[in-house]
Amino acid sequence: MIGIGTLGNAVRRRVQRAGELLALLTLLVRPRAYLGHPARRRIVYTVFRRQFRDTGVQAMSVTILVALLVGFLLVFMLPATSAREQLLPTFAELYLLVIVREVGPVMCAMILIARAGTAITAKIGYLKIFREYQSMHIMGIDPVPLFFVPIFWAFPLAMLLLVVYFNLFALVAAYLSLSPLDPGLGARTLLDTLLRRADFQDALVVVLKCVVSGFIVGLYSIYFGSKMRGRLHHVTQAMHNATTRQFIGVFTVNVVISVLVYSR
Amino acid sequence: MILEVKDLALDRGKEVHLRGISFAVDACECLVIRSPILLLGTALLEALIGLEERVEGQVLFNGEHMLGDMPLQRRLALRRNIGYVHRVGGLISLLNVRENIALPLCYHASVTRAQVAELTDQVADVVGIRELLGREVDELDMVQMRLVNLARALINRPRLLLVDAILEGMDRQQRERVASAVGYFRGECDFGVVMTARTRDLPQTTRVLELRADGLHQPGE
Repeated sequence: MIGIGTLGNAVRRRVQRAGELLALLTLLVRPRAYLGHPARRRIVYTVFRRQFRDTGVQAMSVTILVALLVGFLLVFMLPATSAREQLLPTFAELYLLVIVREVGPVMCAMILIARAGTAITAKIGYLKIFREYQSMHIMGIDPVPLFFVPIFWAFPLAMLLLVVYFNLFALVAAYLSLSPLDPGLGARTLLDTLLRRADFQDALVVVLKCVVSGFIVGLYSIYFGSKMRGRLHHVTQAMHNATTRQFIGVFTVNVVISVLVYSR
Repeated sequence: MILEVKDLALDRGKEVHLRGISFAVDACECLVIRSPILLLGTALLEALIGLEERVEGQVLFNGEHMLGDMPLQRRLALRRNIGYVHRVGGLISLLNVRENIALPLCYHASVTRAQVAELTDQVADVVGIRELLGREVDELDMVQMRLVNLARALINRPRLLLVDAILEGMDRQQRERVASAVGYFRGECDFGVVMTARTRDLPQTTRVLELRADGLHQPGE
């Protein structure tokens, strides 16, 4: 009986959480009348700009470093037996498959979670703990459209930016590594080969993965931050909860999208 | 009457327990509620604005009921003409000082960027915090935070100003600065003031009441 009760409670908690996440998502993506109010729009833009800078711009250095390492690694993993004329097509195939389609979006999502997801969970938690959330209510201000919506939308856009850096710098590293193997290889030849092999579907898949991953990271960060109660040690607990779910969510979405699109 | 409180009772466990609170504040009045425990005063002000859940009685602001169940947007709309000055915290850490002060103005009024800048500078000059405008919230000390809170509460020209014991711990110069800022804005557009205090009153005070667990009393009663 106790086992059934525990199971029932666990199911109830999960259903409740799913309902709360759905309600929060609805609030975050709902079109807002405040966009017609120039002064409010300026606050929204200020919050968005800061969040985008913290996430998409300040994470540039770590993204570039990881991309360079992955780019070198990719060339290192090229089959040693590849004939020189096969080097470029093999690399292009591998680059599109590994970096563009799979590793890029996942790696950037990891950077996004570590760099911005945890920070936003903590920031929103502090809003609750230090009663800033309440202070907004006292002023007659709804914090959701003014603060949470711009923070939420900054995540997918920052994610797209990170993926662009990642792909670009992985390619730069790969080019630098390939040059000694094929001294006649020009950057333009490399780009032409890649563009010939890439198609519109690849681009769409990458954009879809970025947007959905960004939404997942943003949604969980805001959800666990705003669910926090008034004790400081709850901040670390919320960050732990958010990060775990963000990792699981991002991996699952990337795998599901790849399987659905490329399994045909 | 701008504010009418009828038989307000508040129960926040052992720490805060108030009952039989009744008073009214006119638009020209500055009521000081002296409380030996600052937490009691804070709880009372929060109850007036509808933040307390375990509360009974009636609070009417401009004839509108502030307590009871109502949609969030309605509750928020009722508070737009009330300025609230926090004793501790209250500023939004996602924004700097200038943005904090301008926040209620930007949210509630249709103003241009130039008007926001002008009104923010004006209120900052009156409160004497012009040099703090570019700072982040976490760079402020406790007194500076209270002054920024005051500026933010005044920028929207409220009908009612609720002040939570901000004069406690301030030096004479700072207290004079607060009094002159409140006086300046009251001269321009009259509003009622309810301030809690332990020892320090505003010079504009028109009436003083003492807060005890069983209600409000005349001093020395």
